[in-house]
Amino acid sequence: VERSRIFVGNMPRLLRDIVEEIVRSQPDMEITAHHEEGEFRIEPHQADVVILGEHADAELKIATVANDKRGANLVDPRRLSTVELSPQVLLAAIRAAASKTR
Amino acid sequence: VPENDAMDAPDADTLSTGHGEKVRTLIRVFIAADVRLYRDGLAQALGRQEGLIVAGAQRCGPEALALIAELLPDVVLLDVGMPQSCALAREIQRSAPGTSIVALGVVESDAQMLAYAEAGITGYLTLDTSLEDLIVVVESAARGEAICSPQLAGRLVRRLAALAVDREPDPPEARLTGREREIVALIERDLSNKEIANSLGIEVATVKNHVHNVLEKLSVHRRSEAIRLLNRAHRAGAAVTVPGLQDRTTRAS
Repeated sequence: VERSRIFVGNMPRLLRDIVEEIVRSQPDMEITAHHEEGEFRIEPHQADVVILGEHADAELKIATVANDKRGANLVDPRRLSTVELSPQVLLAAIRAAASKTR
Repeated sequence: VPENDAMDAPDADTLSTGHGEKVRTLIRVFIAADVRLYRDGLAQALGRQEGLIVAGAQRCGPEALALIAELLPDVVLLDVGMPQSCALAREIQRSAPGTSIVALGVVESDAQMLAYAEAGITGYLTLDTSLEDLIVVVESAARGEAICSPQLAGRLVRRLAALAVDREPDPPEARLTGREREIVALIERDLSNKEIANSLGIEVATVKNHVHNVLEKLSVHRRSEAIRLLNRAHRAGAAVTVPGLQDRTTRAS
């Protein structure tokens, strides 16, 4: 099974541990790294999907710039607001995101 | 994890010893949390831990309380992020007095922590706790231990000290039974053990037993010391309820 590489960061320790437990229980996913404290870099971990904590009221937009400085992506996160976030919903979202990155 | 349900695991909290008897070894945990990812995620994570079994998981509220009263888990992990969490903790204490409550997501302010403690919560976890530490706290709570930070322990001791200052000590006679108070009143009238026995219609040996208990409870060695101690307490303003000493039963003003 090809495993999706997941990076987890910027969230309270207990939530991060719970998310990691949920991910680790899946045969098609693995935690490639997580962020503890301070600044962090995602790129070295070659993650397929990044899970970040954010403030409940935030409307996060992410722009990524490629290392060769030629490419860039504007990521427009889609909210999963129609359903309450459960482990199943989280896993489905990760799989949907991972399928797009491949 | 099915929402709003007790986990269907009959007899899962027992293990066979191999001699036909079953010994309870697993800790039964109930998760009461409004955030589904915490509730279901914790149920999933704790369910995989050796020695733990998730008895149920539910949003904080009357449904959770009803399930806890029915299931009587060893430990309730209670999300205290909701304003009604202390009230719920008190209700859990009433309906499942043998259950230990661990607060999840505590805010370490003096007032809040004391409110948790007064609601009967014995374990405290912030959201920065690791899953590993959470399991240690759950196991400790199941053993009846209170787990808290040294800072909280200090706050609780200070709170107890403040309460003790505010509270008048019990008067010495409050430690005595009704019969012992009757006997003290007769001692006060200089009656001998035999005379006390005759007066109350009991055996002398019984009187001796009562006198022995009175001296022990008041931490004195002689009958005269007991009388002096009680009189001193009366003069200091303690309410007196010893029959026969009614002339000194008014509180000093």
